[in-house]
Amino acid sequence: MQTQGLLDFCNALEETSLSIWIKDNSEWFVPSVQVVHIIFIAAILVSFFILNFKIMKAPIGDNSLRFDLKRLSSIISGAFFVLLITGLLMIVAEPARSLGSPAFQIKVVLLILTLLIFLLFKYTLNNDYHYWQRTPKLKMLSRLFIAVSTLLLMGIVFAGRWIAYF
Amino acid sequence: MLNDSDLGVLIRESDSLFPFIESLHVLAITCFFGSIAMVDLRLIGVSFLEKPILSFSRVVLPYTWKAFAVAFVTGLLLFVSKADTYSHNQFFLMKMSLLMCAGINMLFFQFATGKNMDKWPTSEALPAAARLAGFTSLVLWVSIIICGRWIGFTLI
Repeated sequence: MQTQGLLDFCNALEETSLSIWIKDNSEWFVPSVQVVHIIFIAAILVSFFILNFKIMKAPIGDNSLRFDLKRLSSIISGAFFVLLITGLLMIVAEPARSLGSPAFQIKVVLLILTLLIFLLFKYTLNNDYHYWQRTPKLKMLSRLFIAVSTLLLMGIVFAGRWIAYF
Repeated sequence: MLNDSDLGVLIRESDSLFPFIESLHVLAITCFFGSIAMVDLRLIGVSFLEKPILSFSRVVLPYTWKAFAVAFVTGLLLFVSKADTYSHNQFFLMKMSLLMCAGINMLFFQFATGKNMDKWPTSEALPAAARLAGFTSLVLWVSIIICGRWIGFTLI
């Protein structure tokens, strides 16, 4: 989706001093930012997988979920913040190429959906560490969310790479 | 020779095959790096200190190796598609050298440093050699990611 408003915004962004500076230093700056981006995507992916695994497998009464939730939540939140900063820097570097790319737009939607699932898990588990194991229906729903979030995370990585092509 | 193989031509000339394999490669690398970093951070003594290293690594490392296998196969496919170009790229050659160093570090840890892992303290700082192995591994894998990303910007 490329509207005139979006293109105007991209053009304005392209003329900012930050964008010009990044372009002048793109040889080292862009790959460096991408390396940081990839490392923190790894942090989110693995933390999310562990959280999903714990929600599915942690037996009732196992207090490790309480500890893991706290630790993984801070890793995921911190990594999301770094991804936001590095993502914004990459947008400023090439506004039209990123914001105008369908792959980028899909990535943003997938990211928001993943964030919503994470917040749902965080909110419910903070109130009750075994919330998703209380009834068979909740158990099934948690598995559905886990499957969806896993696919979303894989989709984010794929969409991220496809920005370079589409 | 590899460059002109049917597989190489197929991947190179397809609009979607190269990006698809590349995406899988990145996905596998992120899973691989994320999981091995957890073990490295535990070895260094930065995180997961409540988990005994032996049982922790036994849980995590099988996933690490599966992700590595996917990264290896997809990396091979990417190489086949542009073998001539990659084999002359200094960052690719550096990445391969670093991969070998990481492999040696792992083997050394497996058969020397970590031989008595079951006797190590469960919730305290590990021996200096173990911390050094974890730190070396982390530095090597970050460097491998750096080289991997730089390949994309220096291919001619």
